Amino acid sequence: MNNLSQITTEDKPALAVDGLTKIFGRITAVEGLTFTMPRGGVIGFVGPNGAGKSTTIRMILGLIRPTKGSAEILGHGICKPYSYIRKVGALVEAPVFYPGLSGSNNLKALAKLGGYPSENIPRVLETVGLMSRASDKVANYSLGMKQRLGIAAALLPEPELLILDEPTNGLDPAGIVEIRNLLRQIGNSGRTVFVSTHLLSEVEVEADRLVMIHNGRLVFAGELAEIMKKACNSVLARPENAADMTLLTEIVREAGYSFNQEGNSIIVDAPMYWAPELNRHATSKGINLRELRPQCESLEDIFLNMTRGEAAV
Amino acid sequence: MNRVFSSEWIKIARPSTLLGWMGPVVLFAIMGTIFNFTEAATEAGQFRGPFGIAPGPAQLAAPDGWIIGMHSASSFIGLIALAIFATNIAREYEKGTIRILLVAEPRRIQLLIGKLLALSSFVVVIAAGATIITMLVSMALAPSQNISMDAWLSWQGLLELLKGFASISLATIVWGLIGGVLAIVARSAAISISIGVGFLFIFELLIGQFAEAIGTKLPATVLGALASGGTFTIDYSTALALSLVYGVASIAISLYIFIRRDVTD
Repeated sequence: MNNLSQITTEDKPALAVDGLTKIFGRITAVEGLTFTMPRGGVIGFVGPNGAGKSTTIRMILGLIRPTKGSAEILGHGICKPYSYIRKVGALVEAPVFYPGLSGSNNLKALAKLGGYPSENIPRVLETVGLMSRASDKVANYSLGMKQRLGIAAALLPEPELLILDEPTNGLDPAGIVEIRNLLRQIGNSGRTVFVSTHLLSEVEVEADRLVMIHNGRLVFAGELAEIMKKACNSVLARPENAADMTLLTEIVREAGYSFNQEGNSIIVDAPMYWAPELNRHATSKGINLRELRPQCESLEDIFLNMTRGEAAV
Repeated sequence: MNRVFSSEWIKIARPSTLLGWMGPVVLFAIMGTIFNFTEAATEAGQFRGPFGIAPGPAQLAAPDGWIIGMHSASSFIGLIALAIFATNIAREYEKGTIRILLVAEPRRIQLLIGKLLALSSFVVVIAAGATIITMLVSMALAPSQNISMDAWLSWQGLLELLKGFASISLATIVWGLIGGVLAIVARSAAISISIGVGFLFIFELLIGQFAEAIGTKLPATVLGALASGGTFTIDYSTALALSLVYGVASIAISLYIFIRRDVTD
């Protein structure tokens, strides 16, 4: 029976959220959030400040009771956080610790509380690069060091699902790259990283999948590649000889695409896969192209397009 | 629950924390003991000072005479216990560490009970330290004031010592539990301590002045009576029963609020 239930939950997605809603008085912080994310890889949880990311994470971790809806984490309902919490590591918002205790003693207190092996402490400190400052009081840590300690605390349970809320806040550029690489490494190892951020450019480089929310409502949930494919919907072409511009625009017009001319280039409203065809046509008519590349919108532009017209909460 | 208890002790067992809280308690117990012995000899037990009515020489020579100083200091120890519980619990909310605690141990009943047990054991350690110092100071002062120590060192004296220590410890724990419930309601150390001190040491005295029957049933009076082994207005068994009621009620209210309340900033 035990084995059967284990197999069942292991087959379940990392996160399955169904109609999750949280209302604080007159404010609806999260409304009918529904998405499913399979296990493994890095999931970016994005949205502007106040979008409802932290409230959602708090509901997932059992800190806040949903007003409506439900969710399953690693196959276990969020109404019983104890059933899954030992497989989950989390950093919720700003990292907070006991300032009078050293970094390692803070982790020791957490390890005792969660029943995690104390042998994990040096390993996680090493992972986040805090080993040399482990015996210093947290009161003397910089914000970046506290952030690293927060990530170390989240790694203590050797989690199957790592939930991090804005983990790169306060880190210097080198630290951001280190943490990004660490998350990638964890995601590649078959474990799941659910990382929330308001910096869309950050998830663009580190996430495999994306959950995008705005004003507490879901905007997109799926593969990052899927949304980025939609984002690359124009092609920039620049002839070597500016005099070829008229001929080049004729080719585009004949193919039935609209375009805008910007200086010595044209931006064609065509999918990126049309670029090689344009190149063939141009070559056949004796036009050498100095530049030919898909024009992709950034994730930020996509987000703004998708949420245009919605008032902020 | 054991995990919560052990984890909590990592935080409170720091020498600075232990000495910081124990220092004032020990100092107060020493002052109370010195007051009792010096005033007992000069004023035949009728002198009323900052530590209450000084006991007479006969009372000091009784089997429980060597910890009478603790009776004088019991309200102060209770206040310290209230502050310890309130500060510890309210700071988890103020600093946001409640989040990391609940992520590591989401079973809120276990978390709160484990925390209250750890804090209770901490205040008992403080009470034990103060009791030992009181005994030593009493033994040092007794010869100079011609107080006999024979009854103290008898079996009866040891029994009174144990009973006195148990009563003071229980009263101290209940003081702490009241501080705990105030901290869970207010989520602020300053507010919970202010409310606690304001009610228990000012408002309660005023109520006692106007309605004596109610006044003798209020927490500070009841816990003071328990720590002193009973008083003229409230006997020991009544004090014990009412103290248990206050303790259980505090735990029940704390749990009810702690389990139901969302952890937001």
